[in-house]
Amino acid sequence: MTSKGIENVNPQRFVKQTKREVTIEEKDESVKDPIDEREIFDLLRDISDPEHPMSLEELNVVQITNIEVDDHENSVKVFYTPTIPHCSMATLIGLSIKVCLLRSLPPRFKVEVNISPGSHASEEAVNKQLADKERVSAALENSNLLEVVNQCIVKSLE
Amino acid sequence: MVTPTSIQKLRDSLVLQESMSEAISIVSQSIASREITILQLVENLQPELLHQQAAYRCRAVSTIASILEQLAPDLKEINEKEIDLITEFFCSKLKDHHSILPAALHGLHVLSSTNRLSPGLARSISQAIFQDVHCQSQLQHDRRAIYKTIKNLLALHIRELQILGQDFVFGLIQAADQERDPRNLLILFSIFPVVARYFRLEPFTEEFFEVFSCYFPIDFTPPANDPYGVTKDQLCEGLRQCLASSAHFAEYCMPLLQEKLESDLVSAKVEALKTLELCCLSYHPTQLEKWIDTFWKCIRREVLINVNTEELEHASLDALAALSRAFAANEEFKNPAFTKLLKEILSECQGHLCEPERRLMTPSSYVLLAICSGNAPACALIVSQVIPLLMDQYRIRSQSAPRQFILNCLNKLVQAGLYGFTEIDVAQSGICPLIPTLLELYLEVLKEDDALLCGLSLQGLGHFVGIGLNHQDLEKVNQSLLGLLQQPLTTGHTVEEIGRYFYKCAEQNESWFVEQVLVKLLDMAVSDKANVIFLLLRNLPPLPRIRAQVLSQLLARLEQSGPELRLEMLKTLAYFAQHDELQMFHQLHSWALKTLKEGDPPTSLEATCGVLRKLASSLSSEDATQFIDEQIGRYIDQHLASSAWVVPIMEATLGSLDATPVGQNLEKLIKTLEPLTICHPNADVRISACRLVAALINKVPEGHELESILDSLRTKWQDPSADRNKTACLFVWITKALLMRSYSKLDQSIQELVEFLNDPTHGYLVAEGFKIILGETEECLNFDSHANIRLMYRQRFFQEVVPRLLKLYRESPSCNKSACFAAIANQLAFIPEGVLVAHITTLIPLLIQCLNIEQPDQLIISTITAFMGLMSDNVNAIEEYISSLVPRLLTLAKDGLTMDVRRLALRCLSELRKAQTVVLLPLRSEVILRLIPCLDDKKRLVRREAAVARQKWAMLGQAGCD
Repeated sequence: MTSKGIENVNPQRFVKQTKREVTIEEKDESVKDPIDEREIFDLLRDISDPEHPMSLEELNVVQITNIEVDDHENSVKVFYTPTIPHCSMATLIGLSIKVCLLRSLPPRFKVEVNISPGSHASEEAVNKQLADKERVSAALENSNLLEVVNQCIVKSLE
Repeated sequence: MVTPTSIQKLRDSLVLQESMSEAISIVSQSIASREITILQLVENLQPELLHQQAAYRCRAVSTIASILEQLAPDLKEINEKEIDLITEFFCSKLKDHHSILPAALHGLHVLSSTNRLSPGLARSISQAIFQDVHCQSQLQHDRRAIYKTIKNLLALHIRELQILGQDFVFGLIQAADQERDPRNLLILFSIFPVVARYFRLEPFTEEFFEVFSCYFPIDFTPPANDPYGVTKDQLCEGLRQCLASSAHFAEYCMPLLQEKLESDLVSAKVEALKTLELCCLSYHPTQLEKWIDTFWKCIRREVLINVNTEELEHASLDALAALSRAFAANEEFKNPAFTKLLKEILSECQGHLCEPERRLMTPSSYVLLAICSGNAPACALIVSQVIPLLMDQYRIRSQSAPRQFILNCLNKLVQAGLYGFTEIDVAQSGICPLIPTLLELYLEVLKEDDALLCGLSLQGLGHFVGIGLNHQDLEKVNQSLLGLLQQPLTTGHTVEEIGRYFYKCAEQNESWFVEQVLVKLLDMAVSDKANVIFLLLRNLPPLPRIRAQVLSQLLARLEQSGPELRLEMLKTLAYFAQHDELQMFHQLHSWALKTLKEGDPPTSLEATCGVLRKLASSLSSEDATQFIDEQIGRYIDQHLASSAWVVPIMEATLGSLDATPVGQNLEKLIKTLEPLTICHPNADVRISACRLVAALINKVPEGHELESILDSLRTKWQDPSADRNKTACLFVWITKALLMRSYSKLDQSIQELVEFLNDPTHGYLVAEGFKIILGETEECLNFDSHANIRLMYRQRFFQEVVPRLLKLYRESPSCNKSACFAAIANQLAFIPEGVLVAHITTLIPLLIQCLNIEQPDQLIISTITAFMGLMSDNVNAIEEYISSLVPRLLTLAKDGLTMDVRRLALRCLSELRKAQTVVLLPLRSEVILRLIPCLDDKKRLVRREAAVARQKWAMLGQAGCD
């Protein structure tokens, strides 16, 4: 965040999905519900953008089609799309997604957060940063960064 | 002359240097009662007043000032001559030793607050102060007295001071120059505008301006724990008023503002812009014209070039709007400087408006709107040039996003262009010739398959309602809208916007709307889009003709329509149903009776009862009594015989009317209902019957009649052969009815309730009934249904019942403990905090014990719900128990048998986040660790709650989450 200005002033707003409907199986005590793409999407959709008072869902940063989950193989992959190819917030958004998933998924899962291929100028560098455990935890030691990440996540919990 | 005793006392304490307050109040009382005069007092104090030591003189003067203060502000006990003399006395004391000055100023301040100063005195006071006191070498307190004195004199004797003219202005400049104390500055800032407005400032205009302009822009941070409460905002506001107070300041003020606009400090820029806004009101356009260009450059930089905070942007646009407003009059509008500005702005903004992909589109539309606001000729010019441009732009774009921006802009300009015009004078607005093409565009947009664009188009059309559209146009719009409604793909968002448009139309011209639109809407209400139409109907304003039309149509159609449509119709009826609609009530009532048959209830019964209840409760008590007299016989003899489902209808009518059956009618009714309450095979009928009996009992006056009804009911619920499940329900409802009215023998009922609770098999049912007893019920026994409700009945019940429950729990080890706990837990949500606090220390430890997986699920659920209720109102009350509560909740969250228990426990853990962080922090690591297994719960709903709870606790105490 070198300049105090906002980079993308007029972001396009997308229509929100309706709430997930509770099925009969979900109410049945004896059935085991697998962790699926929609469940991951529901965890992430209301995280807010660091620049705008809008959610990642409304900005199409997170889409259900860009999430891959394998409950048996314990893997979760999220591909997110920054609003503009030069968005300097891309790393921060990725960090928020990663932190949110680490806090709210069982530890058996291997969580990968990546930029959707071709949607950002420094895609590789950001992906590398997000995949590096040391760097993620180092980033969260920085209280300014942690504050922004928490502010983004906290709205999704209300 | 004999010295009056009160003065003697005063002198004694003066000499002895004791505390004076008592003696002062005695003397002022005797002056007030006219036993002595103020002159006597001065004469008697002569030795002290003429004393060699200044300290004595000072005490004496100060005493007189204090006595005067007690008599202020009307000083009615002192005659004019005395006031003259006293004023002269204090003025002369200003020349005395410097230590006496504060006391003399105090006295003059008191005198200045009265309006009884004779002519000339105000002048001599101000002259004396300006000549004999060097203001800035006094202490803060004394300077304050000087300023307040001047302020008072200006408020009461301004004409007299005006004679002093320049001398007064000069004196004030000298006194106020270099003042530093914020409290004093606040007073000065209220004096300066008055002087600037009412005094001739020449030749001191610049000096006077300098006195306050040197503070601009104000940079002030109040000290911590500031007891005076002076804020930066107050000072800024005061100074702004000074700067804008006179047109004579323009030549000094404009350069100053320009200089500050070049500054790097955002706060200085904002302050300068706000001041400019104010100055535009008082300065003359000829003074502003040569600065227009400079200011526009600054504003342009803030709005169009830099990206700024919202505050700065708003201030810039407000200042621009004020500038534009100053040139609104016809002759000013032709001012070459302003015309040039307008041209420049238009050509720049038009360029930006053609590039909706770039960020400058929105800010330039704001700039144009600011110019439009308040300047009608400029607005007409802008509208006539920019709207055609935007329309062209819309047509050459094909993507949704830029089109949205363009439409948004267009809508704002249309609104601005029409602002202030009505049907009659709309021809004068610049927008008038554009209306046909605009309409064409908007209708074109409606055909697009894009909900957001449609919504924007409807918003735009909404601006034209009532202005600018003739009947033909309106007809066209309506046809498109009705067509849109029939399309299968129309989304909820579009329907909402259509609803808003229709609302405006209906408000504007009701009869036209009924004839042209409503009739067609009602015709469409049978098609497959019926639910959309009913939604629209429920969003119309409930105006008389619209109501009449909708009600008559719907009531006529109720019979023919299918079950789903009926529900929608009933909902719409409920929306339009209003006060005292006897006819509609009868119509709906007889229709409802006709739908009944043996076997299953009609699907619309519940909704029908809802509307009937609303109508019944609003009938007048005469109509209600008449209805009861006519109907009770029929209910009992005809309808009940054919179908038991008439009971809910009876409940809706008889239970909500503002009248009760009496005598034989009542007796007969209760006798008929009694067996239904317990023996009817269908639970809904039974509960409905119980509620109706309760509602009736609630309204019967105390006495023989009530007692005999209760006796007969008691045999029912005490009947050992009957099903306890069913009798418990009746008993709970009767208790509720009696409790609400504060029945005199309530004690007995409560005792019975506690005993019933102890029943090993059915106690739990009664415990659940506590919720019914204390809760609000929608169907009856509430304020709307004219129930007999005494204030604070819940508190009284709680105070009465809790000690008995605790006694039961402690004294009989064999009692039904879980029912007992559940009964307590179920009450907590309904009891106000104040009452609860007294019991909380005994109750909470007991309730925490219930949070154990071995307890029945229902008990756990009601206990957690009770805790959540407590937390939402008053989390502090349970803070000290949190450390014992959390581990139990964690165990339940992981091992709770049903998912409801697990979810609720997790939600309660999330809610605990409301408590103070200090209390929670010691538990954080344990909670985060023990919540991990819950994240892998087999049920998705539980996992969702676990994720929320764990994230909340993980962020506890970290930056950014408070």
